[in-house]
Amino acid sequence: MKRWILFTAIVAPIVSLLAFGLTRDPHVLPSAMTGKKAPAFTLQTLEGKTVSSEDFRGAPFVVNFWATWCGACLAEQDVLREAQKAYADTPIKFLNVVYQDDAKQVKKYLKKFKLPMTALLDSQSRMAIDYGVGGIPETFFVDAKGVIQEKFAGPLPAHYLENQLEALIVR
Amino acid sequence: MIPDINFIGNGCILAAGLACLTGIAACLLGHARLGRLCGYATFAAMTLANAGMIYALLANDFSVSYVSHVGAIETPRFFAGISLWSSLEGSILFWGWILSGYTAACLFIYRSRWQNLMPWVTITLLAIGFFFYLVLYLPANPFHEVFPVPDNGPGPNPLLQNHWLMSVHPPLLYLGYVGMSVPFAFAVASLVTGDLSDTWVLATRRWTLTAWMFLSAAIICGGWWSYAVLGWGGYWAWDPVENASFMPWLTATAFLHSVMVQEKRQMLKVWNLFLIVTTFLLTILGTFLTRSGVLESVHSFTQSDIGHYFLSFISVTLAVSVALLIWKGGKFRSPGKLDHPASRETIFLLNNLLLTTFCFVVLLGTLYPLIVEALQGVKVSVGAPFFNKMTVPLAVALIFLMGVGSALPWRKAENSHLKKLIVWPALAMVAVPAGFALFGVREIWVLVTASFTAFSAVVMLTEMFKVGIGRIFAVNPRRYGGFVVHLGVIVIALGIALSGNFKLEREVTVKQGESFELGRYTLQLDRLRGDEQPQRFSIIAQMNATLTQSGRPVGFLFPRLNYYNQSREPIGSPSVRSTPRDDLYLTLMAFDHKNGTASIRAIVTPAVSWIWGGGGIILFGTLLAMRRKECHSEQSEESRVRADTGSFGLRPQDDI
Repeated sequence: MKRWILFTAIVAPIVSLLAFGLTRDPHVLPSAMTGKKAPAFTLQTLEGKTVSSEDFRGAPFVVNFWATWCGACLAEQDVLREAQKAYADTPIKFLNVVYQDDAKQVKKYLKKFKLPMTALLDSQSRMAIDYGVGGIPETFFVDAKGVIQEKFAGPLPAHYLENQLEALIVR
Repeated sequence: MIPDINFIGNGCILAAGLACLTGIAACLLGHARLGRLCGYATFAAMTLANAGMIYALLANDFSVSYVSHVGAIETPRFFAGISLWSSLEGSILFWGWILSGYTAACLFIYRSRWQNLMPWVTITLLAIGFFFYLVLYLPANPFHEVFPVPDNGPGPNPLLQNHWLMSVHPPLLYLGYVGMSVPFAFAVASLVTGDLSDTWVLATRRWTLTAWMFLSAAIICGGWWSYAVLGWGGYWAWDPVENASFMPWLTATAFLHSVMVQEKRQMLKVWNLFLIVTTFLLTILGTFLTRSGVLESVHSFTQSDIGHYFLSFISVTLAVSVALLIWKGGKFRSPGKLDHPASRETIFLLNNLLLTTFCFVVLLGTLYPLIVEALQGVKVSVGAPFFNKMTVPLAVALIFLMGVGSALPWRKAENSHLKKLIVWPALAMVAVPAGFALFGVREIWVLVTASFTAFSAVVMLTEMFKVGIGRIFAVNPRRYGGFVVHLGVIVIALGIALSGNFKLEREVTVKQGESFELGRYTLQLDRLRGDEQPQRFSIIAQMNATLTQSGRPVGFLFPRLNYYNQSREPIGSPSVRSTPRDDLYLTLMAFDHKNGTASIRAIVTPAVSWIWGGGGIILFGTLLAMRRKECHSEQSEESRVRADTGSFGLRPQDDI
């Protein structure tokens, strides 16, 4: 009996502590941008046309930062494409902002993978810096009042994207 | 036809896992030979899987998921090859290969010995292997098919393609960590079978020493990498993952000393089993902390969701180990007792007490944030001041014991020996710190360190010179190899004490052609220039260093800022001019191209290179200690030195 008590006294606290460690992520910190007004931006399409935050005033929009060298970004393209199709009749706009990449490379990439998106070039990563992008893919959900409601780091799961888009419509 | 690397890789991992299960079953059913063959099979399978991955990395095969995560066409091929351990899945794959190598080597070397122990050794090693191959096949599989195949990838983490040390630090660390599996397997086998002989100790001392050597080298290289790459001018930050590699090193060091007490006096048998089991568990804990992201660390680039697998493995291993020690350990209790306080076994006991206390302090400091959050829901962090305050006195005491333990004989020291022991080392113990004080050193811990290192160094050097440097390693490589290791530790201790207390630092912004002074150096910004490479663009500050007093040029330094595609922030590469006296360390913090100005952080730190040099001495000493004594010369040497009782009444052939 004494041995069982000793066994439990040693093993149980250590395993419990390590198990507790898995229930939390020390890296998860709420984005400083969530709940704040989305910073203004000016971007360029591959054809040289200027797109700015003024064009989206009064409409909810989704900003997805991606690059051609990012495997995870390619993996989430199907989810994004389906969502854009499904929500084409809503006021929600989608911005596909290219992060640290080359315009020629982007053109080649869109052609190769037959991606119908309008890629937007972010000169000197100004928009990425303003939004506090730490790595890609990263996606921001901005409501009709221009406030960032959510930020997601990593490839978007379909159900999560759908929930966020529904929430943007309601707001 | 181009081979499908994903198919081959997955097939090999699956084969290795199945070989483990077959081998375990075979050993349990009494077919030890089949178990052994399965051990060899895991090595063959993992060798092929690793070769496949290296080929895929070098050939930029982006259809392999791991290559699509860490590969890039622009990455230099050297860094592309070593990307094998730059991220989680590749690291586990490489880990699996080393484990299979250790398993095969151990089973091959002891194929015709210890028939009672080897089946359980095989079972334990294959069980550990099975866990890693399972992790490789499921949550950390590097061989997923990627479709559509991307044209390029992001390349490895920029921090990991900045220095050649990345090619040695991780492999050394894995060789150290994984190497502890072999002594653990023998300890388990000994406990399960109830083999009370010293067989497992004899069998595993050299394996432990080998793993300990790799772990020591890995810790030193890790510090060196941090110093040479991260740009903060330090080499040790008490980061959780650094601590994770240091804790098993401490317990393994304790084991390497206490195992001699078992060999000589038949004491501490249960304690030795406890130490080796703890060492193995700490290596797994280290891996868990690194891979699961449980604790925040500079190594967070390796975090993933494999934590649950590791938690299960640690839980099972811990439960089995504790159960074996509680239910079977009692049999191993030995009746021996200490004869006299002034004996080597007493010092080894104290040394073990200090080393395990040291380990406990580091473990407590590392896990404390987790404990507080679990109990009170509050986030806290434990910084370097806690660790330094708690561990410096322990480290200094250990250095002192190192000298005393080396000098005292087993069982009991005679008074005449003690008197001999005291004279020269005691003189050095007083004279060296007095000399330091004359040069203006007032920091108490530096003086104490100088005093104790002088004592221990004189103890060992006196004996080595008395016996004769030329023949000590032929007489007793184990004892004098150990002395060399201790001298390496002393050099490191002095390096840490001096570099930690007498660092000069300045941060200045200078225009091209302007200069500033720091310590004995004058530094001038000659020019700023750009350097375009396929994988990055760099801004380089060309700094001309001269000695202020004499005006003698000492050379150019080139601190740089590197811009990688996948990193928004530039990655700095410091430039270091290293001499035995001090290191001149420059980091380019920022620049203004228009005005031609650069912000430079300059640091002059004394004796940093002693730490790396001390690491080299430890490596050399360990290799000497592993050498077997030549049988043909043993008798003649013994007769020659019989009259020579060493400095303090010891015979040179006595083991330390």
